[in-house]
Amino acid sequence: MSKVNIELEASVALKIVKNSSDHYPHSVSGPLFGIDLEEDSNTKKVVISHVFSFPNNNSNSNDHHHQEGYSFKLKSNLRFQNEVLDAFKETGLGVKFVGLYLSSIGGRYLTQQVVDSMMQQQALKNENDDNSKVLLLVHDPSKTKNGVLSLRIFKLSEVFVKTCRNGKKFQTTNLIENGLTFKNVLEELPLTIHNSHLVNLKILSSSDESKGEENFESLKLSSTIPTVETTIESLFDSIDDFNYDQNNFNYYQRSLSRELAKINQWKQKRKLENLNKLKQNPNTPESELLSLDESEWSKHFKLPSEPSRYENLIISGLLNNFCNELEVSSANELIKSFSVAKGLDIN
Amino acid sequence: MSLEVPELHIVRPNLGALMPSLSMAPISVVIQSPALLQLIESSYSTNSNSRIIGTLLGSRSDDGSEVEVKDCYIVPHEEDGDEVIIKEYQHKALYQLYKKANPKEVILGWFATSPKIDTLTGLIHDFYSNTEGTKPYPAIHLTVQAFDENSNKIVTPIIGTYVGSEIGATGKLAASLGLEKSGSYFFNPIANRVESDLSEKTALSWVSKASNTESRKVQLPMGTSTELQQLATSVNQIDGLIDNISNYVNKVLSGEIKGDDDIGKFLLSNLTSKPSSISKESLEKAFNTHIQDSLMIEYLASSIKSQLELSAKLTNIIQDRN
Repeated sequence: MSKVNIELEASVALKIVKNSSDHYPHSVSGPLFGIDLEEDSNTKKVVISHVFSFPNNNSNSNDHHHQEGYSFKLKSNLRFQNEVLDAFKETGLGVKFVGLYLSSIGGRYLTQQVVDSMMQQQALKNENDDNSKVLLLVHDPSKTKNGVLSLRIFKLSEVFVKTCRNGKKFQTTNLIENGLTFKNVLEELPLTIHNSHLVNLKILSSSDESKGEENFESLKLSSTIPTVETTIESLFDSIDDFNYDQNNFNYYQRSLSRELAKINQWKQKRKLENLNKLKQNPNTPESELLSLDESEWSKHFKLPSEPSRYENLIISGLLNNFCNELEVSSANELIKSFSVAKGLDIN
Repeated sequence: MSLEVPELHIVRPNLGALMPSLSMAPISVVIQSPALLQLIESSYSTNSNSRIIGTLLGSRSDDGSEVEVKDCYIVPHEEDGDEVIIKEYQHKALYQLYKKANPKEVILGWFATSPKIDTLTGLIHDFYSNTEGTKPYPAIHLTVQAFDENSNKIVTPIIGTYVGSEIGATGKLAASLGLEKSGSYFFNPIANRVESDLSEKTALSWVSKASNTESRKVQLPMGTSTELQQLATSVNQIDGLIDNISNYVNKVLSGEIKGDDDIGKFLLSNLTSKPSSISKESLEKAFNTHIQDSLMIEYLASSIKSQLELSAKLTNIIQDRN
């Protein structure tokens, strides 16, 4: 396993934070550009040096449900991404496409659109003999408003890619074989912010106040409540989706067990016939007995095919994200509430 | 600021006749912190020429007295003696792309990574002041200086902002005199300041953490517990501040230093402050309800999580058996 170090130039970090906070609560997204280097035989370094916003972001649409990553799939945005890259090349910047960024509140970033477009972009990369991984940078602007910088970077996990490559796709046996669960569709990677020398000089010479050193926003009581509310709403919506998908699966399981019961009946019947034959003539050669093999019963019965577990995987992952977010913010809130109550001498 | 210098015939840079309401040229420039870092980082672009130039994008205030720099990009150019060739095509291509992503942003002017103002500065300024550029508004010029030629040393980047006023006869007058005019400007320095809002400050606090390390790097926290880590950091900070103030108070009490009246008053009024508009009972009740709510959410989240696990495991077991 080779290690990947990902460095985000300070200006890119700031630009993403600024842009997504400006559009909050709407989601914004865009391509990330940079370079990758071999540090040594085992370590790769990816430097993200430029960022752009897509012209068509989610904010244009009125449908608030399930649309994180919707902008990734628009052809116009893909074309835009290539145009930007061409323009950069013409101005002499030696950068390439390294990934996508997305501003997303409360862990909503895990959607089929996001995963699909990461796969699509990965395929495009591989076509151009570029084996580096497509990265997904997620910024949560609701937290940044409370003084918490939430910038996380992901790639599609190895097990997910392996499962996709396998012909059986998202069938349960394939999932079990590869160890793919809803928790490891995406894999988080360590992310560092890097300052160039000149930026460093400038930052060191500026005042503490302008650097946001003294930042006590996160101590405010109930600071996370608006986000918690929207997260719970999305949680309920996603549970409906989850149940819908689960119902399809249950339907499949019911028809499967019906078919299996029929096959068993059929097998019993044949066994009985075989026994009768043997009773009449104990020396009946085996070739005259009725076969119970799969090759035989599959002529008479057809098992329903298993529906893809892909949707279930993604929705479960999404629900898990929501729950993790809620757990953290309520733990946060509890700590603050108890200490404030103590400070006010009540409880 | 005075643009009228008696010896020179200076036209106010705003072409007031076209836009009578805009009587003011920009008198101050606000640079958003992401743009500032971007400008500084663009100094690193390799260019065979002495300087790198590029376009400034952003917005103007309603009365045009203030411009806000939000974005910038590099435009390739070639300098040869007293001639300059700007790659207009690249400039336009990138501008179109920025325009698509940020329809409200307009060209404000240009930047150069050299503090020098020479004949070429005027020529480039001409390019940015024309109809495709900032017309009818005057273009601004921004310089990023990271190298001091006198001491031959790298210095902390210095940002300079200027607005150019055309010098000499212009328009009809110049035409009637048969003068070919280009690049005659008087560059008037104007004020600039860097602004960052709360979210940017949050990000800057991490950039600043990186600046205090040898490698100029800082790793961001992973996973979902970032908030709790931040909470711990803030509480520790507060703890440190309380230690500071109690040390100070102790010193004042022991007579070591003389106390400051303002600090004393501030402490007195803040330490004794208690909510007075609400009774203790109802406050207690409100707190308890709040705590119950938080616990409820935590419980909801953890029970859904267990359900998810259970569902995934059961499905796997059943499917595997079949």
